[in-house]
Amino acid sequence: MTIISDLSWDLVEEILSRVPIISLGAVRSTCKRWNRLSKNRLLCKAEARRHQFLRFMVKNYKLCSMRFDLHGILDGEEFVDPSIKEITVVDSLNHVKRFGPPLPLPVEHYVDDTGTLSSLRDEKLAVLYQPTSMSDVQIWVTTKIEPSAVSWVPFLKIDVEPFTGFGFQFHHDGASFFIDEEKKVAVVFQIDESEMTCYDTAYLIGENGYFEKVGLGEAEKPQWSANNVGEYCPLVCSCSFVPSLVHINNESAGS
Amino acid sequence: MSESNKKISLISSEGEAFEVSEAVAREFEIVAHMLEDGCSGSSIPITTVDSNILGKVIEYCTKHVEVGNVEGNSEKAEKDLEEFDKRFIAVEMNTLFSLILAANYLNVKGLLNIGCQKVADTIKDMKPEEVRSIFNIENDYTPAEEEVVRKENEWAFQP
Repeated sequence: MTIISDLSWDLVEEILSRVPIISLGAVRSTCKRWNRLSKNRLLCKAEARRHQFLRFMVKNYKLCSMRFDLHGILDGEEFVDPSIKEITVVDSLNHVKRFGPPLPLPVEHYVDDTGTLSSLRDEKLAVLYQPTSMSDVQIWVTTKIEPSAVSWVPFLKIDVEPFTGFGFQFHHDGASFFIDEEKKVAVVFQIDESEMTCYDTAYLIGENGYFEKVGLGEAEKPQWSANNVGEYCPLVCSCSFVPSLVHINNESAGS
Repeated sequence: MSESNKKISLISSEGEAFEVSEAVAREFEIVAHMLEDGCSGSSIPITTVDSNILGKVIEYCTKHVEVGNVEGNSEKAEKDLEEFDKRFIAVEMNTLFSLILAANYLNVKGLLNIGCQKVADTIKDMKPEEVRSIFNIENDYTPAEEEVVRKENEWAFQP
């Protein structure tokens, strides 16, 4: 009879790396060995395949985790409201970054145009571009990205005017987004102003004119006199960064 | 090459011989390497895998070789293969772990993939207690330690 403890650490790690990130807590609570193993490798391999996401966002100046499901949205299924939860994260980031020369974007970007970058599984970049006073939103992704060279291909293009009316532009200094490459869907986050209150809002856009707007709750009200609405936009972290306490625990245990 | 008709015997840990085509045997990467290294014997002992599991692995590889040989690999064939994989991997946990071990040893990547995924899928919706009981894992946390881990990972929306 073979049981899971007969498998090598490598194999258990391989299995755990396929458990979606939303089950991470359960995995880590199972036993000490699994807790350690799950910290060696991030558990988000399965995420992209399942269209179930956990992302981090800054909302009303608070760090939140957000979980939602993109599965089936293009087949007419309802987009399930994301659940958002405030979190506290302690982490130590000791990476030293060096920057290479600036690389070109696929478009000419002017000061009031909306242009925002997002990363895709830490392998590719995506850029969302909407020229000021135009209703065409375009997204490109990189096919090659190296320290001194980049190339882009169009990913998605949608005219949002039929859905938003004339004159809608994603905040040029505040919108953030990420894409699901397989589903050809992008989710753009920003603050929406109405008469009395402001709402954090997610816009789902996709091929063949797919467009949906999802409210993420009331947002802190910006000072309208100031021209800095963008600062109040929810900021979504598009990378696969996963907070953990491993560094700190190790350090304190080691010293 | 005249490999299409060549037969190879794979010998299980109990000494039972399974005759397969060379194409199927080559699905076992470990066997493919042996053949490339000039091991031309027609019978290859697989000492760590018993007959029951070896039979299953061969069934898996045979199906995948068959479908791979179909001209103009249609969408339907792919769907069929997906269905086959799904049925194939719907076994009880002990067998699943044995299959993973065998697939790892024999280096059958596709099988290792679906095996690990199946276990991960089983874990995904479970509470820690359920995971422990079905995988036979001892809880080595003290209640206080467990509480700390739970708190640390609250952000991940434990079901």
